[in-house]
Amino acid sequence: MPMSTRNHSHYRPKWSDREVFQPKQPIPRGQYISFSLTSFGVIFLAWIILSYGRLVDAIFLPTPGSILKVGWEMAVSGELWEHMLASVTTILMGFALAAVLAVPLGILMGSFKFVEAFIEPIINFVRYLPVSAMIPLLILWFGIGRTEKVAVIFIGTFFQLIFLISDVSANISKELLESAYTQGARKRDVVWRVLIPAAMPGIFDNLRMTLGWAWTYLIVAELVSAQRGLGYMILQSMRGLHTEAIFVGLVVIGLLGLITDQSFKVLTKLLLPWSEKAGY
Amino acid sequence: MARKKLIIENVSKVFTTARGQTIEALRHVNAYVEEGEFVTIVGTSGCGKSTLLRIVAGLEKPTSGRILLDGKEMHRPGADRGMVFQSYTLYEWLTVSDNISFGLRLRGVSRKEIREKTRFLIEKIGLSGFEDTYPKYLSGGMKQRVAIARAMANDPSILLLDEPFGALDAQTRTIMQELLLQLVEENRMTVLFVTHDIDEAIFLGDAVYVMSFRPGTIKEEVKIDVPHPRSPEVRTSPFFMDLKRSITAAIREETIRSIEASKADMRRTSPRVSGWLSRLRGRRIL
Repeated sequence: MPMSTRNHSHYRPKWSDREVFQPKQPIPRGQYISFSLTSFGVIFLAWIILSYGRLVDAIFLPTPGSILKVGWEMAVSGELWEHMLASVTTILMGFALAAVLAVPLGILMGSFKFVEAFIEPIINFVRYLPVSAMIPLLILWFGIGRTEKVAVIFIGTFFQLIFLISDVSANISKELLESAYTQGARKRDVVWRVLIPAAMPGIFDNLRMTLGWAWTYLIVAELVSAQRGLGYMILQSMRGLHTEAIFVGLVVIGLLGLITDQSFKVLTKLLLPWSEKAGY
Repeated sequence: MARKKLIIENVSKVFTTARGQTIEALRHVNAYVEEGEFVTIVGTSGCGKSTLLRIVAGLEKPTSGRILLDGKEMHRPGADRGMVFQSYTLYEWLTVSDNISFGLRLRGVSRKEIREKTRFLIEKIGLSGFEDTYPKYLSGGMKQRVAIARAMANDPSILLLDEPFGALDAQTRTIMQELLLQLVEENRMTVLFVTHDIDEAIFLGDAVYVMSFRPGTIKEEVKIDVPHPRSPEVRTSPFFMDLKRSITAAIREETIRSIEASKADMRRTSPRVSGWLSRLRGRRIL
């Protein structure tokens, strides 16, 4: 044909031309999942070979089966629940206290310059002080009971939260508030009906993030000194060389973290369905 | 001659920056809007046109001069000067209807009246069926329609718009201009509209104020004698083209001045850095 004068050379794609190897190129969902499962599977397989093959001593790496068995025994005896309940209650108390105080203060700090000038210096000082460094002092003050753990969580999250929330409220566009004034709103209406609802998605996000940190602080505090709790349980298991129980503790802490995080996600969807963060 | 609804009387505004420099944004601006008139203010970016509108809205205080609405001096923002902003200022947590009725609910208007008024306005802006939709599901053009309806819901004495279509694509913008014009014509509204888009200023305005750059002053006032309702064909008429040519020329001078001014600002901004640079050059490091 006269039209097709171009030379169609036979181009053979190289292996590196495939979609998977292109930067930033999305890949099919199925392929994505199989890659994710592979990484998980490889680690699990290595574990099975190392533990069941007795290549590593059971004191260092117990078999998945023995961990499940010990976990089941601890659940039946009630030991696991006791420690779990102790940790969860402590977290909720410390975190609730921090949130109840930090949310209003953070909003005020982000909205009024005089509040910012008043509290920011203190917060910035405490914020860079790791809570773990304060544990000995807090033990001295409150003993090794629940009060001390609540104090650790409170100090660890309150100062971060107040800072993060003030940032959320400071970043709410001024025009959003001004548009309310041009509709006849008074200052009180602007704060309650515009500023606070507009800050909600950011507040939720930060609460979710700091709740994750609260777990870290609690476990550290329980490892240092405690009478019950998951951190204490792990420490006791180490002393008795009950490695299975250590793994049980780790798995439970991981699962609890996952559950709290996911419930926050669900809560955002239920309470703030209008927010961009709740998805479409 | 129609009554002067809004009078901007000898308004000047000087800003002081954090470093203590002063910027004269507006100098002795005098302008007015007659009852039922659509006035546009056009100027290059940074000329102070938005500041002027914000002063009219009561969101900013003039350094001197005053704003008179129906003969009364204005000091604070209020629902009598409804405003539409360039950025999307819809309340994300409220549905389209609840956004529109925000001001009505603040004033405790009866539910029945709210429902009727909201439904009427939603139909007018062509968003029937979106009453219970949250803003996150709306396009930019739809959001600005709701913002216009929201300002109209309070029956303002004058409607203020600050480049409301600036963030929209050219096609949507044209449609929105026609919709706004239709709403204004049907409801006999008084409007003050700020833009940098000359086409927009001429197509919408009964009068166009052209502003100069820093200090912002009224450089020219142009009457646009095109009767309402205006059809989209106006945009391509010879009359329109002539006006556009002359206003474009006037603005061009100001834009060039604004570019020169911003160059000068940049040179001024960081004497410390330029000090370091010259020292490094002196030591032949750079």
